[in-house]
Parts: sequence; C-alpha cells; structure tokens
Amino acid sequence: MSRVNPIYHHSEKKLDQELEWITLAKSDPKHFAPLYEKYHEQIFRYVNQRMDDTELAFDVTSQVFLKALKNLHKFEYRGVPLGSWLYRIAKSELNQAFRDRKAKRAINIEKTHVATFMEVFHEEENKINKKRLFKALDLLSDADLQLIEMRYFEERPYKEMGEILEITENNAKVKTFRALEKLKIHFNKIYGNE
Amino acid sequence: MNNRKIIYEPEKITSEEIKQRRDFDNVISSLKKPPSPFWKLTGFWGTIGTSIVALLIYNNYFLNTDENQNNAYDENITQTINNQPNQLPNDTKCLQPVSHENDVPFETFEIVANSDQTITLEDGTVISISSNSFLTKDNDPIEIKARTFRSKSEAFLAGVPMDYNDEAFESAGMVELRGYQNGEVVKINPEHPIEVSLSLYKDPNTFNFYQLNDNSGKWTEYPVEYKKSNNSNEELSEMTQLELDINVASAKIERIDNEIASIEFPKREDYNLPMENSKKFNLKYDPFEFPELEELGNVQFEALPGQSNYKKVLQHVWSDFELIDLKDGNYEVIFSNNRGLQESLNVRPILQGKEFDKAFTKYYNQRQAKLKERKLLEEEKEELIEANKKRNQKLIELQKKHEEEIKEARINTNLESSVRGDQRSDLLEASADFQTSSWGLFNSDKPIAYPDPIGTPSTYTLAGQTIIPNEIYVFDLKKDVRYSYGVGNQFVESIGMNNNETIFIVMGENNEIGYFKASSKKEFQRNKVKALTTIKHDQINVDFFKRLLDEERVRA
Repeated sequence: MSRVNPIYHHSEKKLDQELEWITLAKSDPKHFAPLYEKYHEQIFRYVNQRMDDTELAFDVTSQVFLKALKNLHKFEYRGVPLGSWLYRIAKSELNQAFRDRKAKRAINIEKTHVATFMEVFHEEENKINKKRLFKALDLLSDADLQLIEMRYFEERPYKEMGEILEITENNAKVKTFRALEKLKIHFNKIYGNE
Repeated sequence: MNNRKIIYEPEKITSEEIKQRRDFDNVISSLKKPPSPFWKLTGFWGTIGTSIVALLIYNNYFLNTDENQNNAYDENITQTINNQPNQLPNDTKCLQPVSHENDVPFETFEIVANSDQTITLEDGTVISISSNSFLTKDNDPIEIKARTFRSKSEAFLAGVPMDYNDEAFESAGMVELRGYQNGEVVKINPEHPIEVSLSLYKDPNTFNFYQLNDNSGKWTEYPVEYKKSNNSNEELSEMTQLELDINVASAKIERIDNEIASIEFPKREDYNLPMENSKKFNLKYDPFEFPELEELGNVQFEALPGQSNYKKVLQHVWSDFELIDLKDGNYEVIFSNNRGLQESLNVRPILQGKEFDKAFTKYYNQRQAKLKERKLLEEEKEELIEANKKRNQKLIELQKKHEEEIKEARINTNLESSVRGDQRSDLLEASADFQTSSWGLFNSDKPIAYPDPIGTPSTYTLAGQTIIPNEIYVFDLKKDVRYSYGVGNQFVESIGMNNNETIFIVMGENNEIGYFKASSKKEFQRNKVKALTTIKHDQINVDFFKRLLDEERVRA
C-alpha cells in the first residue's frame, strides 16, 4: 500500500494555494475539484483501512466529500491543511456506517505491521503470537485502536495525528504510548490465559 | 471483545485504481439534489411515523388550548419572558423529568419572525437567527424556548437519557432548543439554519457532539466546531508558539552542528609543511626525474607516521636509494647498501627555509579563517541554546500555570454548576458552535464505559418496606457521569460501581424514590439489604440533588 501523503509536510505556499481553493469553493463548489483530487486517495485509504468492504469504502469517501462541501461555509482556516478536517468528517461517516450496520469495523493488518509489533514486544514472529496480536487489537477501545492504526499502520507523524484528532502533538505522543502499553498488556494477558 | 473483523494481508489497491474511481461530478450533482422530505422516506409510515403524526395532532390541540402570552417584544431586541418550569414542550417524550413540577426551567424568548435576532442565554450560550430562518409566512412572533444543562443534577432531574452505545455520557455542555409560533412548532429553514454557540464548562478536546433523537431517545453524532478563545487559550497558543520556536531553534542547532562538522580545516600536508616532531631528512633526488619536487623549491622529506623501521634506517649507512612516486603526493624511498641491506620508507616532501615560511603563512591564514567561521557558528549555536533554555523555562512556567488554571477552572466549573444563571468562566471559555435546522437537544459529550457489574444481589427497602427497583442511577462522586440501570441496555441486576464514593438513586415500581451511599465495592457487597433514605416529593429539585451529589462542595 502506498503511504498516505502526510499533511504535516505542507509548505506555506501549498497552504496558501489550498486556502485560495477553499475560498473559491465557498462561493462555487466546482472550485473544490483540485482539493477533491488532492485528498481523495488519502481519505479513501483512511476509510478503507477501517472497513471490510472496498466498494463501501468508496461510497463513504464520496459521502465525506459531499459532507465537506455541504459544510464548507463553516470551515475556518486555521493554518492547518483541509485534510485534518476531512479526516474528522471521515471518522464521523465511518461511525455512521458502522452504526447503520452497513459495514463492519475492520482492522486491515499487513505482515510488516505484525513484524513491527513483535519487534516492539520483543516477541518471536510466529502464528501463535500473530493470533495473540489480533485478539489484543480487538480488545482495544475505538480511541486506542485509532491511535495504533494511525501511528503504526498508517505511519503518521504525531503532529499530523494531533491535527486530525484535535489534540496537541505531545498529547498524541502520550496517548499513543498508552495505547501501545494497553495493547501490550492485552497481548500478554492472552498468553497468560492460554 | 469488540469483535472487529481482522483482515490479514488485505488486497492492495493501487493509486491508479483509486484515481479511476474519482468522480467529483457525482459529488457535485449529489450536492445539488434536494433531500427527500421525511414523510416520503421509506419506513416513516411505520410505527414511528404514525406516532409522530399522532403526537403532532396532540400537540396542536394541546398548545392551541394554551393561553396566549401577549408579551411585548421589540423588533430588534430579544426579551426574556420568564422561566416556565411547568410549561415544557410536549414533543420531547423521551425526556421524562423526575418531577414535572420541578423540572429544569426553560428560558423563553419572543422574537420577530422575519428579522435577524441574537439570543444570549444566561450561561452565555448564543443563538443566532437570521431573518429567513423560519419556514413561515406569518409575521406573528416566535417563541424560542431554551435551557442548558451544566450539571449531572440538572440532566438527571430533566430526565435526559445519558447513554450512548452501551456507554454513559460525560457532558461538557448541553442545550435544548424549541420554537413555536402561535402554539405550533415552527419549522426551521434548512437553507438558513439557526446558529448556536453553546457555552461549555469543560475543555472540549476529547468530547464529541451529539443530537438527541426526540422519538427514539437515542443520541446521534452531530457536526460541530469547538472553539476556545480565552486567556487559557492564549497561553496555549503561546505555549504552542514556544514549542514551535524551540523546535525551529533545535533544528537550527542541528544544522549548525552539521556545518561545524563539515568545516574543512587546512591540513599541513596540503601545504607541504612538516608535522610536529617531524622525522625529516634530506635526499638528493634527480630534479629531472622529479620536476614536481624541483618546482616546490627547498624540499626535505618526512617519514610518514607509523613506520617502525624508521630508527633502523637511521642506524645504517646507505650507499644508494631509489625514490618512487606513489602518485598520491607521497613517495617511497628504498635505501640500499653494498652489503645488500635494504629498507623502505614512505615519505612526503616538506618545505624548509623561505618556502616553508611562505607556505606556513598561507596555511596559518587559511586556518584562522576557518577558526573564525567555526567560532561564529559556535556563537550562534550558543545564542540559540541560551534562547531555548529561556523558552523551555518559560514553557515549564506556562505549563504549570496552565495546569493550575485547569484545576482552578474545574473547581470553578463545579461552583458554576451549582449556581444557575452564571456567566461563562473567564478561565475556560470554550464553545461548541453548530448549526441546526431542527429543534432538539444537543450535547457535547464523551462516552465513558460502564463499570463491571458487582454481581451481588441486593434487596432494597424504603421506610422498612421492601421495594422492587425499576431504575437505579449510579453517581460516582469522583466522575462527572451517571450510570443508568433499568433504562436503556443496562439491567438493574447488572448494577456496577467504581471503587469510589457513590450515590445510588433508586426508583421503585410504585414511583418511590430513595437513595443510599457506598464508599467501595466491598461496602456495597457487605450490606445485602440496602436501606434507602426516602427522597420526599418536595425534595426533588436541583438544589437537593446538587447537595446529594456533592456538586456544591466547592461553594461549601
């Protein structure tokens, strides 16, 4: 999977360009097109990472942009890329889809991610540990899972995570650390139960 | 266990595939589609739809029989009529107050139908209505009813359901809005929704926003924009700025370190200068064979360091030598004598005499220039380190101050929640800004997990009589949350508590109401018969519950 383009790395020039598009789009939604092109893949990947149905992930992504356009007049530029706002809409749309039982909350995990966790936990990479990891991930709260996914699956910088979650970069760091600790506790407990 | 689906090694989707699925035109066309009216939606004419219609008919009848309140209103000034605890809107059936007589009062305003209006509630919540916010052609005044809930006691008293997806809500601020014209619910124009800036009494960082579905009594997430614009926020931005400056300076320091590391000081060998403690000697080389050495001028040779046979070379008398250019600026000298002895040394040419002086001056000046360059960089680095020290110090001070303010704000929040009609806290001024085209209850909340069930069956007695509890409300005095059992998805039998001082309010099947306290799970388990203290009918009011739930402790 190609990496999500980190919104963290926006230059001032890019932000100015974005602001110009947003301002224009507020008066005519057609001007939103470049922003749609810019963020479509990022948002889709974010949604798809958390769903078990790719087709539905495309639908939810469209819904995110539709909602964004509907609410664009409320968007206030605060020096943060539009992407962070779109991610928040995506999170809300995902929750709606799960509530409506249109889709099931999924955790898409790659082999490399398993290897990363085994390295972090100082555990051997084998079938049993893989299963323990899956169970441990399932035991995490939605908020903690979100942090783990963002940091370890999507490899987002803490600054970007903070912007998306509307918390400080430091807070994102602390929360992610705690989420990882919890994951480790679950992981070890599962071993203890066996 | 959340029972999420784990997909291991999911099918990879290329950027190209995603690109092909872009369809901005479709998004635009969906944007232009008007939403289906709710009565045309599939399923509306089921139980819920029929109930709503029945309810509306009932409301129309009921409200029309109400006495008209001919309160004066000014075209541009919003006036509070009064607080009307007994005249609650009737379309909120999911809100069942503990006592209808002592429900949380609404603030009532009369406004001009087709004029821009701004209403400010007692707690600072601002409701902005534009001239075309209402779908009415009638110019009769519109009555806006609004109430905010700023404590557990108020939300409990008003019967606000506080459960969401099997978790309990902790609120940062809640507002209920209703609007009527001539006794009938007035519709809001979706094209010109009402804008609300709900005053919050907690930092909304970790809170979501929800609207209560009046019919189902369930909360659904609602778009909101949180704003914080107070002293504390200024400090936060100052802290953010400081952090940013520290990061920028740290990056600069790193860059300077790299620059310092990359400074190339002149090497003595580049200027053919001898090293200190030089092992040097003269050789009579052939200037025709080695014109480059001849060009250098007054040349000697210096043995390269690390050659252990240097002493050996000095101990013997050599009759011949051979000089070989190693092509890297160095040479090899092979000494030999008549007895067939041979020793080899690697050497480099060095200058002496005037040539040395000339070369040394060049080397020295170049070295001084580089030293100056390094000094300037080191000074710049020192300045940055010093500035960062100061920034860090300031940051620590601000962080401490901010923590103190948060603590103080929390204390003030408790105080605030005990005083109805107060103003926003100067320390923690935050708002939830949203737009709405429907009346209802809006809440800034975060869901908190229910505690594990205690599992000990209990008998509840009130005035010596055993009662069957219909509902039990559990208030952890250390948490701003209410756990509700016997309503929603939690059964009375699955009652739980945290290991904190806790108040249990029990409502019996014959509407009896009483409470008991437990300081720990052990205490709860020890007393299997819970002797409830009766809450008398005239005690059911906000003040009583605030005292009971220790929401007035700060003032006390």
